[in-house]
Order: sequence, then structure tokens, then C-alpha cells
Amino acid sequence: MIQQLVNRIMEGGSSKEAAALRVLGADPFDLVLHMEQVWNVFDPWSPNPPPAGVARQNLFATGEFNNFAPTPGAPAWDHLGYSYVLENTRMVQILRRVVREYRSGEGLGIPSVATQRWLDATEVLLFGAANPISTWLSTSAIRQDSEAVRRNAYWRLFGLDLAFGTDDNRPPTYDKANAANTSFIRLFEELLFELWQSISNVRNISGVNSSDDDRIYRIAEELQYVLRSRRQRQMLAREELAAATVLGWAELTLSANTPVVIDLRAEATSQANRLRLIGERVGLTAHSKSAALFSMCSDLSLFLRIIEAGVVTSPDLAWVLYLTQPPQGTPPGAPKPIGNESRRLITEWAAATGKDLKARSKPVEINRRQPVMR
Amino acid sequence: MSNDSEITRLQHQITILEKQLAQRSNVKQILSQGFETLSAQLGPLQNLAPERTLLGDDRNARLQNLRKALARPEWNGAGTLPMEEYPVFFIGEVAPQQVDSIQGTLTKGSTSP
Repeated sequence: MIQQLVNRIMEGGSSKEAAALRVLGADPFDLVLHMEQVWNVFDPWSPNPPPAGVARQNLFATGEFNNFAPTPGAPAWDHLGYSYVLENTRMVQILRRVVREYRSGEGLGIPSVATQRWLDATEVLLFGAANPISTWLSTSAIRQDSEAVRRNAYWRLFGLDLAFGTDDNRPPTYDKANAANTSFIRLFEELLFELWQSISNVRNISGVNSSDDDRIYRIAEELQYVLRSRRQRQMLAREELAAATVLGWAELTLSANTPVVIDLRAEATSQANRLRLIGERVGLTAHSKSAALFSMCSDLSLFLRIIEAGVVTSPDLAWVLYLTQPPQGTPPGAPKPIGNESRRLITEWAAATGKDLKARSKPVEINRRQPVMR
Repeated sequence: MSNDSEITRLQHQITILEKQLAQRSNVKQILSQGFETLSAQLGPLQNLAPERTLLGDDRNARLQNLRKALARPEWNGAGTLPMEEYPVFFIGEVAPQQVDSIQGTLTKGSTSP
């Protein structure tokens, strides 16, 4: 959501740096209005009426980012998988401590004006400070903690919990739904394994070839069913937007040596190193595999969106997931398949989890055929 | 006489060596030409790929739409974002200009709000 907004501002002619500073220094009200606009443009319940009424539509038309609305169709925010891997770096909890330290004393120094603007927006976007349009936050008196709301969504869509507990290392408490996709991770890793077989055999035309388009298609189809089962009538879409906004804001904050990074004396050459230095300043250790988590977040987002969208509808189209260029005969201007993204995902997922996705963990079981009748 | 015969013998040897040399370069030529021909014949194999079913217009549009919706800037190697900032005054350090000097808002002799 946030990175996509930066991209749309760049398409309007701004440099990347100027676009990022414009977003990071924005009035939080403008950002909140824009999120409402993005949600409304997506039109989740189409062909039923859109979510925003007349008053709200007029209101977000007055916002600073009104001219940077996305095109209708696909949601212009990242998949929940993006938020899950980024949240595992512990960046939200670390930034929470930064906000608390700045707001309660001068232990971190005197923040610059730009950092004070960032603090205002961060309190609104991440931690639910008084928000004139609070509905998008997906929190309320019933579900007050936005982190618990995200944990609930991760559990439902992926059957996964975060790698850590609360800020003070207690076990997390959140509503753990009964309907959860506990088979997601098995299917996902099996698909990555099969994709690696195909990637490593793309140019193999004469030797033994272990790639299997039929199996890729079947696993992708099963994964699509599993993910869609939690998405009926756009369930979890709003929670996904809220999560993508929170994690996108945190990611943009660490994408370069931004004013708050400079104020915290955490200048570095990568997002993971900036987070590690900030974590050391506030006494909370970032995930040791943060570099891999940062590196794969956007690739995972696109990968899961394409699985869910049902682009691969037969074994003949499994190549979409592992080729890097469209096959011969494709009309010019056609989009590239996602082979590069899949390859990056395989490498970084293996690095983050410690699992060797390039080797099968156990041989495929072939049951002995039993006679039908004795 | 002996000198003439020696010269003749050496000339004969030179002729033999020249023939051998010519034969060797022929072999080399034949080999290199042979490999070039073979390489040219096998060349198309480099581009050989299994025939793929193409995405239809609908699938292409979905892929394009998703790629566009998630497009984002690349941040690898990003440095410092330059932010210009002016000194902030303390409370009461700077007084606003006299209201009388603002044209068209107050008439002479009127009281300020």
C-alpha cells in the first residue's frame, strides 16, 4: 500500500527520494484518506455498492494524494504474506519502542521536525492514535490490539504464528479461529520444491528431467482452494489492507537513511542492518534472518496473488510460475511470467527457515496396489 | 660434385618437408571446417525449447493487472534521503509583524482582534 503509493507518485514525475519523503512527511489524515480511497477503488463487494458513501468520497477527494489513486481491478496493496514475513523481523515492536521512547522522554535525543511528523503518522497508522476515520484500522473496542488482529489473520490464512511473543516476551494472546489453513505451509513448500526442479531443468533438453508441470498445477490449484476458502466474499481483505499499511509504513521507514533513521544514528546500507541498529538502541533484538525476510517480502506478495487469482488453470500454464520470459509466440507487450520472483522466493525462504527446498525431504511414497477382489 | 649432390639432397628434403607441412595445414583446415559445420548444424538446438501453451488474453490481463497493482520502487543501495530543515524558534522568541502593516485588513484607528 505505502510502497505502491510511492511508486504512483514517482509515475507522476517525482524522484524516488522526493516521493518517499513526501509520504513519510505527510499529514496522517491525508494518508488515512488515501487508504479509504484505495479501499473504495478496489470496490471489494462489486457488483454490489462500493464501501464509501457520498460524504466519504467527497472527503477523500480533498486529500493530498487524491490524484494518485490506483487503477480499479486488483487490490493496490500487498498480500497478507508480505505483512507476515515483514512482521517476523519484529520491526513493528521495535518501532513501537522507538515511539514510546520519543514520546516519554529524551533518551533517544531530540527528534528533528521530520521525525516528529513521522511520529505523528506512526502513532496514527501503527498504534491507533485518535483517528478521524478509524474504520479502516480494523480495530475497535472489541478487538483493540492491532497486532492481535494481524496475528488472527495470519493464523486464519496461513495457519502460522509469528516467531516471537509480545513485546515483553510473553506468549501472545489473540482470538485463534477454528477455521485456519493449517495445510498451507506444507503445500507452499512442496510447490517451491517442484518449482525449483523446473527452474533447474528449463534448459535441459536431453538429460533426465525431474520437472513436473502436472504436479505444479495440482499443488498450485490446491493452494488456491485453500487460500480462497478464507477469502469468500472478501473476508480478511480489510485486515489485509490494514496490515499492509502498517508493515509498508515500517518498511518505507527503513528503506533508506530516512530522517528518523538518521536521528536514531542507525544509518546503514540495508534495511536489515538499519533495523538491527535501531533494535539495539531500544533494547529489542531483530530477527536474525531479517535480511532474507526483507528480500522476499514483495516477491512472496506477487507470488501468492497470482496463485489466488487463478492464472495457472492447467498443467500447460505451469510455466507462468517458473519461466523468466514469455514463451515464443507470445504477442509483444505481454507481461513477464514470475520465474525471477519464484527463484528469489525459494532462495530466501530457504535462508529464513533453514529448510533445504532444493532437495526432497522424504521420497514420494508409492503405495503398493492392492487387489480389488481376492 | 659432392656439393651439388648435397644441394640436391637438401632440396629433396625441403620438398618433402613442404609436402608434409601442406598436409598438416590441410588436416587442420579440414578439422576446423568440420567443427564449424557441426557447430552450425547444432546451433538451433540452443534455442530448442518445449512448445508452450500461451496465456489467453484474459490470463495475460490478470497477470498484467496484478503486476501493475503491486509495482514498487527498488530500494537496494538507497542512501540518505536529503531533508531540508530550518531552525525552530522557541516560544515568544519571534513576534509576528504589526497587524497595522497588513494591507487591506484593518483601517487606521481600528482595534486589533
